[in-house]
Amino acid sequence: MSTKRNSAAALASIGILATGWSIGTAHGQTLTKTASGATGSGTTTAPGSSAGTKAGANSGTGAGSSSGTAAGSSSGAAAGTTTAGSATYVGTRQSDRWGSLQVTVTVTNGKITNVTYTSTAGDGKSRSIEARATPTLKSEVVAANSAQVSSVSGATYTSAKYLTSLQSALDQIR
Amino acid sequence: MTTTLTDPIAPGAATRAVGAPSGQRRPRPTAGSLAARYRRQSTRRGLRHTLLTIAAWSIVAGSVALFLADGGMRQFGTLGDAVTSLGIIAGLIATALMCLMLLLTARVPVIDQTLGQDRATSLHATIGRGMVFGLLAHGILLLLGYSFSGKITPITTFAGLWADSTDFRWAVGATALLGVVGISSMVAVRRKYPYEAWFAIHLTTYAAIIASLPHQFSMSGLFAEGKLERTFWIALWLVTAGAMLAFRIILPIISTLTHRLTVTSVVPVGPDAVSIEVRGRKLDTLGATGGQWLNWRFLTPSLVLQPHPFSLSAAPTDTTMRITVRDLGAGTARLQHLKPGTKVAVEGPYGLFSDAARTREHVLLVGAGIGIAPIRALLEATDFAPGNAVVVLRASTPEELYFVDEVRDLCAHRGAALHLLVGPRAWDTWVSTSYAGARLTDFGPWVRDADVFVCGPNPWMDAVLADAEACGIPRSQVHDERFTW
Repeated sequence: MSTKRNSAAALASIGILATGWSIGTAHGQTLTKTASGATGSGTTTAPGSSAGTKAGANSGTGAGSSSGTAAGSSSGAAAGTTTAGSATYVGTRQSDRWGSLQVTVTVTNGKITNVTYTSTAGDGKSRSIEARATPTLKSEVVAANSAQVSSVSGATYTSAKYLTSLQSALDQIR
Repeated sequence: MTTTLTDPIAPGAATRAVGAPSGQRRPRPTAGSLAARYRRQSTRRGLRHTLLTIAAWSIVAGSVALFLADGGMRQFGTLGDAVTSLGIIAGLIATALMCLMLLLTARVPVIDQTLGQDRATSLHATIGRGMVFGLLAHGILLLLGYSFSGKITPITTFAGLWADSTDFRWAVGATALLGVVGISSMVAVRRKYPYEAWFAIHLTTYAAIIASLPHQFSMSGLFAEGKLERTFWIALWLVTAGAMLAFRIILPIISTLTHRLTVTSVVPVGPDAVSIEVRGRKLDTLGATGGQWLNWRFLTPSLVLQPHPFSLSAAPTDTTMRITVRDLGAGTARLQHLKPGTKVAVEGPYGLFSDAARTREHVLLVGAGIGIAPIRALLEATDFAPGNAVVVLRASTPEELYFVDEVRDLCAHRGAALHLLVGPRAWDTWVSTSYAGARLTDFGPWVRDADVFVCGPNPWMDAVLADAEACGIPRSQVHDERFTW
């Protein structure tokens, strides 16, 4: 009886997996088409992010937190936190089809001292590209003290998201 | 070998007093109707078991299917991608197993009435071992996969993720906590700690699970905002959390407030046991039957933090319930000095050591020591035609034959034969030397086609179960419940 039971369950599982696989295959074809059409279009800005930039621009909380941690993943808004001498600014969340990326920049006495980011990219390739490209981007940005740096080759999309989000964070500084 | 059993209380004319008043409220059933009823009950339970099994597998398969539906099959092109994809699948399976584990301990009525709480708990432990390996594989494979793809060392990958993501740091902490819980749950280690310490460690699982939640939604492309997969994942967690909340917290609170149980008497029975009788309102709606157990929490300052699983030692009435507790540890020792009037909170009833487990018209009830208490309650609550039941009680000394007088009366009124196996055990068998050589099948000509209920100390129960297997009694007809957490 228990063998029959498990066979039935295994059969149901195989059915579910097959369904998932066929959806994935069909979905994949449309995705590829979309991707080829979208080549060169770069990043798209997350909906509502421009409003968020204005809303969050001057919201210093004074909580003493200078850690460059971005806020929750649900928000496309930008926000800044100011402490004595040092301030953090959260850039807008930049999305593309691999996920979204949001940068937090720490500025001390007018100099960019640290850049951190959060990313929702879930596939291994995106994560590894990010893991490879972001240290380079960060050191270039700190050295240039600006978002006007060249993108990392082989990480065009990541660089675009990173630098756009960074620029929106820096735009908050008045 | 067939032994002729010489029984001190043979099922003679007196014990077959058909129609004697017994306090039993049901009309006396006929054998034929019972056979059909219990067969139906058994079929329905089998069907429920099949449906639950399919549902459980489907949750796991569904989680992997989400990955496939998202185009996961295309992410096996390079070594890095393949390893990463396997890591994602391991994480999905481990998380689905985690939800199943929680559902198994959520005391969901349909699970309890299909598997029984003890089977559910042992399944929980079995799944837990696989789940911990799945989580480790998830972490290790993803680190390796990202490293291969990015051509950097796993340590650099880890450091990068650690520096970049709070949610990742929480997830690492969650994995470490779950590892601790897993090790502390393993039987060998568990025995060295008191129940309370083990329970406290287990509570940290909830902290670990909560800590692991953010990264599932923020770091996973699969569950990114606006995707259908995210909705499924949220629903899975909401259902799991909802079941835990409803059946482990809200339902017990409602029960406790509705039934307002208070201790009415604490009476010594036998050398080191007491019967605790409680009185309350509307106990018929609690739905407890003889043989089931509840989690009892006596609301005194020293006992309020210790819920104790105790079986009923008599079928409950509309206003009273009785449990019998043997002095087995510090917690149960204190119960012996409970004062009448003490308020009681209960969770339950739980368990399938009851009429609900019956599959056949004949029944053999086998109890030893304090395990006689649930046997006695079950004897009162389960149906059989006169002559179709045998009760076998076992104790080392006559004093440890708890409730022997009550059982003798019930047997006489219901028409069940009673065997008392008193004295030292014969070698490593489950019978006393006075019954040396007797097998389960010697207690009735129909035992192979009967339900056999067994309750007593674990090693003794193992001996009975081994005998049942040797006698060729199908496992589905043998019912035992164990209280080793």
